[in-house]
Amino acid sequence: MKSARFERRDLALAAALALAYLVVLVSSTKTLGYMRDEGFYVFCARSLEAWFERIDAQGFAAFGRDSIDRYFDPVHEHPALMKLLFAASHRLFHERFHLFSESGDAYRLPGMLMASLAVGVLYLWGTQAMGRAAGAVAALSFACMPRVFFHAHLACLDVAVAALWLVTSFLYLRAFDGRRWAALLAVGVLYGLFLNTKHNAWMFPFALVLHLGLVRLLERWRKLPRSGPLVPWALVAVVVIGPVVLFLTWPWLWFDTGERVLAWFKFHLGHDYYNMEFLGQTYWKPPMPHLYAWVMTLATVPLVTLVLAAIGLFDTLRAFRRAVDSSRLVGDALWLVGIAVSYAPWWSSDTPIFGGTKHWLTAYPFVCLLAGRGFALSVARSSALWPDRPHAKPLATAVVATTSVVGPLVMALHAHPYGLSFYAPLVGGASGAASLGLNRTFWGYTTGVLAPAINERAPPRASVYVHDTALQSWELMRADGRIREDLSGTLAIQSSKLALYHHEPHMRRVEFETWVLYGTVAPVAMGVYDGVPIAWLYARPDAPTE
Amino acid sequence: MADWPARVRRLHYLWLLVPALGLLELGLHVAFARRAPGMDAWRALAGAAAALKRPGEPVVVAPEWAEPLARLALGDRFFPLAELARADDRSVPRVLEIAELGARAPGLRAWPVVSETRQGPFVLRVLQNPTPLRARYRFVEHVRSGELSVALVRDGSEKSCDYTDHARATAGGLHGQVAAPSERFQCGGGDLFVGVTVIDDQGYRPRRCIWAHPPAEGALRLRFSAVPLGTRLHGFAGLSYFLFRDGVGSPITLAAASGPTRFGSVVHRDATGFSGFELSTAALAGQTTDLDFEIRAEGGFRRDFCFAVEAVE
Repeated sequence: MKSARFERRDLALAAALALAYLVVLVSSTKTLGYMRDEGFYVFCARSLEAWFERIDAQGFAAFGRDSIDRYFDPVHEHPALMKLLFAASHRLFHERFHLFSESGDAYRLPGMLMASLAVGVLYLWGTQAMGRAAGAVAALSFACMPRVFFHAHLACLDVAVAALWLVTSFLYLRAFDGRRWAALLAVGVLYGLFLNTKHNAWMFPFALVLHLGLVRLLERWRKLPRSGPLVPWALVAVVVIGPVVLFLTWPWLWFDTGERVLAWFKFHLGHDYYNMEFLGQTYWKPPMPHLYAWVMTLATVPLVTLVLAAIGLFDTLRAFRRAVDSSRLVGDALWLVGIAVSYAPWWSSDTPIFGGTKHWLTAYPFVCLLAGRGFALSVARSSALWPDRPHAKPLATAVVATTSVVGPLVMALHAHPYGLSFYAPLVGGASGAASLGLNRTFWGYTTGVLAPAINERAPPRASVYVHDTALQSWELMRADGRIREDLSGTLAIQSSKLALYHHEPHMRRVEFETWVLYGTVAPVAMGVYDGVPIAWLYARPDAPTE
Repeated sequence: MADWPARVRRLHYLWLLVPALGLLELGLHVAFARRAPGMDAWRALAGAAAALKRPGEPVVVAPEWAEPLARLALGDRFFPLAELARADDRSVPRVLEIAELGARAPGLRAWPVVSETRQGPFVLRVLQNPTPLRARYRFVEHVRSGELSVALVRDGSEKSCDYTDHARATAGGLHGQVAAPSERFQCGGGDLFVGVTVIDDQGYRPRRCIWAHPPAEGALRLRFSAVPLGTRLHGFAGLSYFLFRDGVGSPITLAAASGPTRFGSVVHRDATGFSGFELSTAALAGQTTDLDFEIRAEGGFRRDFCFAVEAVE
């Protein structure tokens, strides 16, 4: 049943949802500055573009060790898949077919496609599990999570890895009780690509083992027939095929494999701690606050989505307690495990928190599937209040769906392009969060909103102190014409005529340095989100504007 | 459901709370997005604020996070660096509190309100310090040639540091040294100088202070001339908290004396941040005399010491 074919209408609706999301993302990317990590990943992608050129010129010689070591050296902290896609997208859609006038848009396209893929798959999975309306609510709830909407624009790895966790889980579920080789191959290959995206994928096999244990336990408890073989062939495919695909698709591992895999693990298991503000305190070394992930989820995910997910969780646990069909049990258990494992690292106070909510973004698709479950139950119960009214069910569906999705949609659009500054009404919005001492911004991307002020105020050929913006991100903005071509980015305040400041408490010393060197404490321009200062610009008082 | 008891049936109306919650959250989002004053409101405040702002009476913004907007809208004349990055509020006679969203400056709630004015979304309050310290001399205002001489002291010999007002001002960015101003006493190369800068305290707030990096061996001596002494020296000392919060640097000793009269010393440790101290000058209270600060640290590598002291009545 789980691997049943979808109706053509559902496939069309899934594609329409995904395409609509892609259109919204592509059309709203220009106001969003480039994050630090985007600068680094574009640097990696450019190295891979040079590798593509070498393949063109030298054929198989480009696959030799010298070539791989040279071009993939920047691509070894995180795996290669997305950077290969960024590079390919840039070469194809910016340089060759000129589909995108800005190179940054082309670099961002693969990330946006991954986000759109997640939206489409959420619709399909939700529809299969709970019906069309619930599937749509699950997909739109994910698409309209303001932080997800922000990350969905980026040439980064976080939404991609969330999408691949979701899609691999979906395929795993469809292959769970079968032994069709095509389905098994698909889930194994997809897990390999998932591994080749980001290290969150390391946790996936453990999640599947946990899932299997939970399913077998529930089957025994509820005296249900066992679904599929004791150990699903799909799990074997994940464990066996996945690493092979990782090896084949990440050329960096072709040489000194053991050493390089070990280095990859060591880098992430012993990652540096960066600073992050939480409830008025800047954390920069363990112990990190245990409540971080939970409070930040409450503070940044629309409450209506969380409440629907809580109702869905209640419904799922109730279904576990009662005898239900195995297929629901297997599917819902996979959602719960996806959430639990994604949040699990934050039970430890040693886990860094510097990336904020993006760390557990992989949980959100499953939260939204539970929200779809909650939506279905809400509709059923609400319409049952008027059993004699023939239109009660469609009306309840329309009302609950609209009120579940419109709020998050408005919030997501309103948050743009300040996505990381968004906070939900539960904590009083951006101003409430600022008063609570929650992080206002990081990653240096709000240079994007100050670009017009920089272009207007900078003297000819001026240097601009970029602060938290990576110089590679600055260069990308300049290459795309968002920043004047004659302006150069610098990390030396003393040689600058304009100075940016992106607010984080531990970085304030940079602002103080600017005060002393520029002789002013008054910014000349500011990126303000809902009355809260996010990033601002200083100008040397003696610097003539253009 | 029709055959359920009426009480249970009524409970099912609770399901209508789900769409109600969606609407409520949307409404709250719109309300919260609009509640904090924007730039235009801040700019419109300039006239009313100027009427209340007095020299030496700092502007305090509540909530604190809105202060950059105030600086942009009102400009430098409302926020002289000496007031904005003051060491503490004890010697401030009054402050002008500009508050939005019903906030109050946490440390000033107990101060009596002299006047309160509503101006659009803001409340402007003049607050009176109930127990102000009367500062007779703020050392940070006298770091200039003619009022201060600086020397490196080692084994009884002195090497004076030359004053310049056109040194190249530098700053190290996030992980580098704090700003080195153009006006300073330079004692050889690098960070061995004395000048006024701003460091970050343990709350990452600005503190204006006298940079006085001790040498690796011996001491750095600052001699202020014609200081009108009161009963004590009220001061703060620290290093950039962000850079030195690990607390692994060697302790730094600051000693104060006037000729043969020693007023005592304080030992500063990195992890304490920008911390306060008091030294009694009762022995010479009411006299105007030269006053020496001597700063030393065992193995003075990266001892980016900064202090702010007032002679108070």
